[in-house]
Amino acid sequence: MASYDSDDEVDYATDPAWTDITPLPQDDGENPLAQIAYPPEYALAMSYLRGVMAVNDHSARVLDLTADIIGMNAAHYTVWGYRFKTLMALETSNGFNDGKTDWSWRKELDWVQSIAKQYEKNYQIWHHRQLIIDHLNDPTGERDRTNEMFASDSKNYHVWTYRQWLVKRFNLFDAEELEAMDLLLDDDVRNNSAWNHRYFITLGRLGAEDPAEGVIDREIKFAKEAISKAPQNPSPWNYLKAVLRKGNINLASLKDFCERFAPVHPEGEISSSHALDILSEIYDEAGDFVRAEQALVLLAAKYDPVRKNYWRYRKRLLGSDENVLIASEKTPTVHATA
Amino acid sequence: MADVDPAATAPTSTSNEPPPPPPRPIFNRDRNIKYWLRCLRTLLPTEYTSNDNNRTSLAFFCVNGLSILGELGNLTKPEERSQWIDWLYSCQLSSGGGFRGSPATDLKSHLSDANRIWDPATLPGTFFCLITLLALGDDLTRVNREETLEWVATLQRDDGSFAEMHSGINEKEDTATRDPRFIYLAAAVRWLLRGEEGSLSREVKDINVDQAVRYVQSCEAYDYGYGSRPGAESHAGHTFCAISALSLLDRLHPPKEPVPYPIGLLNPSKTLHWLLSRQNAPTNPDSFDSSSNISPPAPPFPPSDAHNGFNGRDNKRTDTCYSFWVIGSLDLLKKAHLVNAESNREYLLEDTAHRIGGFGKWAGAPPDVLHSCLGMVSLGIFREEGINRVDSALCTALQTKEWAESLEWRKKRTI
Repeated sequence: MASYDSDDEVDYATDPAWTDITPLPQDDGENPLAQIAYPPEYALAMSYLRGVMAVNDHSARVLDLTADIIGMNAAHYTVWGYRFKTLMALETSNGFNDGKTDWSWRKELDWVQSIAKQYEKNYQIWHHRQLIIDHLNDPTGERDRTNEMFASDSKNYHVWTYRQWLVKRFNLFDAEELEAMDLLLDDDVRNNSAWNHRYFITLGRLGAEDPAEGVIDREIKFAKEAISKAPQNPSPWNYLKAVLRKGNINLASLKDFCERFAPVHPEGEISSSHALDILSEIYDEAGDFVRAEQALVLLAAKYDPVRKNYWRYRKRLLGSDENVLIASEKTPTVHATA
Repeated sequence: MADVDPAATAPTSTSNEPPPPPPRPIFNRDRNIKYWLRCLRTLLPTEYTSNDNNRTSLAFFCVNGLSILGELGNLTKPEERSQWIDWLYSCQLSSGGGFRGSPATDLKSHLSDANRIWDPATLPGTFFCLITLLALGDDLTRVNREETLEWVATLQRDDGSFAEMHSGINEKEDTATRDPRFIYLAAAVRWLLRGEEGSLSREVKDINVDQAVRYVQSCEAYDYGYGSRPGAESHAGHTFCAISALSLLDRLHPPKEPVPYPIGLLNPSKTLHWLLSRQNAPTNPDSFDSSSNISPPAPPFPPSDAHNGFNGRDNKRTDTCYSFWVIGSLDLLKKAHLVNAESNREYLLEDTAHRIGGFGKWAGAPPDVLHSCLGMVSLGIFREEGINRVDSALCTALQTKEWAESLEWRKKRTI
């Protein structure tokens, strides 16, 4: 008893600990839509959850019940919410110490991590973790926990969202964070999530001042080295263009670099459609429409044929300002709390 | 009589002629009708338990699926449809406006002011119930429309984003969910219930549209896709929600003259580029260990333009649902014609379509209601034979949208 995780099988209908709760079975009506073949254990546990919610019971046994349900349906946001509220109530009433409650926020976090590994594509788990860490106001060990998750799925959107929140909430824009991204990109240079996070910590900080001396140059060098290793990888190209914009550096400065991967005139060995794409823009801006068109024709005919409609559309736009339909308000004036 | 070898009567080809092209794949309408009828009339398999809290979304996909095939009225009985309508209305909260996401939280006669918080109305529940009711031919007159609109407005935060629901957890601004999905759902509910020029509800508190638009714009990432919040990685699902939210708020296409309010994507031609870049060759399952944390191997270069579906982020696998999130976005931007529609057809009809009907997430995956519905809508945008016309912003049959627009209570009042 009182393990508060889902290991113990509890039969709520016969367990004396639950006799005071009236289970509320689900009433689906006569001919419902989207009726699910629930496992019987799930249907029973949910009946007890409704019974518990009806009387706002936030005693320690609720940790067992919610863990049991989460083990069968980790995406159940009501259950997570009810569990968090119960943890807060237990802390307030007795600091988890009533002589028989053997639980703590740290134990909760360990349990959450074990659930996260079982149900990787789950948002609620990370939101729960976020609420707890925010409440404890202590990020110790949290970067290691997310790194563990990246070891099995390095592009998990929910984990990255959590990591960004962690960095922002505890101001972790530091060398350790940058090093972690170095490692992930070293492991997989095509990990776009790691590229995005690198931008977030180096240049994308909301409301931050101009980047520190040398950061723009360092990041340009980093992106170019990555491109040289895998020229057809879109992630570092997008990153490089964004760094240039941040540094107010003209795209035309990439001309020589791009021509290494996409010699258009005379046509040589082409190893990157992204280089061709950027070159068409550079030539267009410089008024060299012949080469701009040549780059777009090569893309449509051979190096990126699936987008041939788009490259032909771009050809028609040569010499015009293709960004005429820009928004009336260029800069968003509102950010989430920085 | 001797057997005739059919090959002998076929025209013989000489060696310098190219082989005939493979037959164009077809959308198997009958198989898909059977799939949707099965989903509507029998229990969904146990695997759907993880969607228990969003059963109204499952209901939407099932009803919408048959509706897009134009067979909802022909192949289901009036009593069935009437019972389904009653079930959807049973998800409407008795007070406070909105619909719950699932009967799983319905406390029925045990509901009280003290426990009401555990049975909340949610934005997804409300949108999915409303649109499914419309698909079933209901006129929404049993909806608490004004209360629902006022509840939607209470979900909006100062920065313009929306909460999914009033959750009972006192969250700080920075721990709460604030992604474009909920702006999209709020915009869709507002569009459905407010009607033209707010004719229904002139006096009902509206959302702050300017601020909602600014929040959407702030989710633009450095590569011009949109993410779940400012600074997050571009994601085609969030990008669809951003674009369709602007569309439903009538703020997607700026007029020729400048206007004094926020409107449009910040960099539409760059977002167009990002969206079109989502179309990619599928990953060969034999060359990819799906349990690996490493990116799937890069496609050969120069790449093939056959069987190209869509991924949701750079260097991720293609997946049926992104064929809708991306093409739907492009349709709203009036640029769907730039997609390689034939290659997308090959991917959906030859790779992810399942032999029992419906579509899986990717080749070899079992069909599920979300991917089956979105795969069909994606094909419907290009007027696939056998699929009715669709509306991208609401992800539904065009007929359903037109039914909403025809409702008397929704029309502008003339004094």
